[in-house]
Amino acid sequence: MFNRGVVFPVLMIVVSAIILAVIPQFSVPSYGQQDASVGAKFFPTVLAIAQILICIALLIQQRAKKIEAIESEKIFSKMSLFGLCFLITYAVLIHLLGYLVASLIAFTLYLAYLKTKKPSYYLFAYVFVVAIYYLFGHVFVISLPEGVFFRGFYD
Amino acid sequence: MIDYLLGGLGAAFSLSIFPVLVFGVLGGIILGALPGLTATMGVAILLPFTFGMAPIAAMVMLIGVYIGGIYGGSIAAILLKTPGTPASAASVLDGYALTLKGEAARALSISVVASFIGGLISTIVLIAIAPMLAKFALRFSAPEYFALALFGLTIIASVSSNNILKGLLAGTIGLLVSTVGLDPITSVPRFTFGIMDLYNGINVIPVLIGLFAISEALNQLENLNLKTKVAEKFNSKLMSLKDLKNILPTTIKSALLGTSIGAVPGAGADISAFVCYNEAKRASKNPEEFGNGSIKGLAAAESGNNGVTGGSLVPLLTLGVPGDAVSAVLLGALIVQGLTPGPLLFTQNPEIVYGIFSSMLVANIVMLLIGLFGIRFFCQITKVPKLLMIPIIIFLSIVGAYAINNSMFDVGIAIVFGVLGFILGKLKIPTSPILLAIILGPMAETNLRRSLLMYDGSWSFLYERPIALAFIAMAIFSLWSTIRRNKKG
Repeated sequence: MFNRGVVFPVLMIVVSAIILAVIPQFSVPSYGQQDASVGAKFFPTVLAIAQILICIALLIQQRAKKIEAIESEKIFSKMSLFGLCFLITYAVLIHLLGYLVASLIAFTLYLAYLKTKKPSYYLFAYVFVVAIYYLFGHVFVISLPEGVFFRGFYD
Repeated sequence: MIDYLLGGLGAAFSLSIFPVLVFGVLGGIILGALPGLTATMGVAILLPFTFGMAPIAAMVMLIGVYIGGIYGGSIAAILLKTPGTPASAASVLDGYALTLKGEAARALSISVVASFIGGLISTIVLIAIAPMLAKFALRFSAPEYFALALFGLTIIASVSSNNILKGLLAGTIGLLVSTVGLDPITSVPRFTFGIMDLYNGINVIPVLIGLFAISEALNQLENLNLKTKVAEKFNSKLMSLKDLKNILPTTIKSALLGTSIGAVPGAGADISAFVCYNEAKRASKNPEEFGNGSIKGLAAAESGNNGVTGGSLVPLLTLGVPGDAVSAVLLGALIVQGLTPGPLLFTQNPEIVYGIFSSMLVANIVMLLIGLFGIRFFCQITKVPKLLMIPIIIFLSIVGAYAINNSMFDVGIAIVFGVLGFILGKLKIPTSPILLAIILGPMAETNLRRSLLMYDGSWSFLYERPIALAFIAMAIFSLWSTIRRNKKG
């Protein structure tokens, strides 16, 4: 159990500190700095410092308002974790197999995982996937991912 | 002028052009409604179809796509919390809240009517005072753009009135994201870590798709009950006359504001929608309604983004300078047709110019009719079971993110921001400031540094230039009124 209202600002302070550490490593243009007062480092530096100040203010606000210290609800529930895995799996599948095959497989897996037995849902899923494929690929002529394994197959 | 306008109207309604116009508007609405496909992309996609057409027919179709595309984005924003285009991101705030209340039909009708009024007023202004507006817009230089961006950024405070600090945190996250890529002035790589895809910076569209669509899909999955539908209650009533009366002043004001913003090169429909939304909230007697299904908020955003359609053509037609990406594609279309935009176009090819003006009037009417008659059809989306809707949102999001640059990297960006949006939602940190900051960040940074170069490192441009000073005063006033409202609240 941890207090999200404290952990997130602290995490952002750490991120800002890392950003501040990375900024000095920006290369300097070989023709010299045109605007000596404000270079490429200025904006990110100001923002990172502002972010740290805002996070400190948030922490003070948290303390002053005595906002609930412990929040029991997890950020990722079982279903949202499934959603995240589904997203990543779909992205990998689409990269390997292309839009059409990946979407048909992903939709089937999704419905199967949620134990859907209605054939109409499966039919809807397949019609939707093919309709989008046709709309993008043939009506608007927008290229969809072909996939590493099926390159040229959809032509 | 009247003769040319009447001639243009006659041409727009002719049998050879009217079907092309309807096709353009309908195609624009469909493209705009698909996440990731912007109005600019719609115009670019349909551009090759116009190569064999006569100049007027070609421009009429592309203008139809433009107007339809800007409106179309709001359909998915209202029904699925998935803005079809960046221009409709502000419509999510109140449009989706209305859908959750079962008032999707009312929200869609308000959206199309406000879009129509915005587009119509913008076109009338374009016809009446195009050259004057162009002169005003030409006075914009780096300091004015910086001040405009600064004014735009004050909206962060307004859209995060529950906890301004959290809104500011989201804003700084967005601004930091906007610094990724080659530095706009010196081309020094920043936060690229040797990854080539990051050199061009982070595209706003995958971010938008992630923050709004993917995070929403994850949220819906979490609350998934196999027996529930997306909207348990559904009211098919459209907007009433009372609604129209309520939104009319805000809509007209937003249309005029949107037209002015559109006339400023570089400021597009996305910025306009947020600025108009903020102004409507600031001026409202009930600002607490904004974000919870305020019809004025929705109308302001929709009228504001469609108000840009006429304004953005001002610098294009009068000066030959494209004000935004869509105008740049339209400029290409004019050149393909052998026409040179600029002052000479008005004298050498008045029939083309007034043909464009007339077709904009007709395109707005066609958009209104398609939008109103299509509501029953669009609303069917809300009846699709949530179980099916979630993968639909995910598939459209992934495909939309890919389609922008044919890049799996953008898909990754959309997923990362989807997860970020989901986590921020749990922490009650608003996500719209991130998007706003990514849109306005580069404009603010580039123009601040250009201004400093112009003034030899002096910050005096902030008070020496009247237009910039006016924007800064407006930004301070906007912040002050938000803080005062919060204290009262």
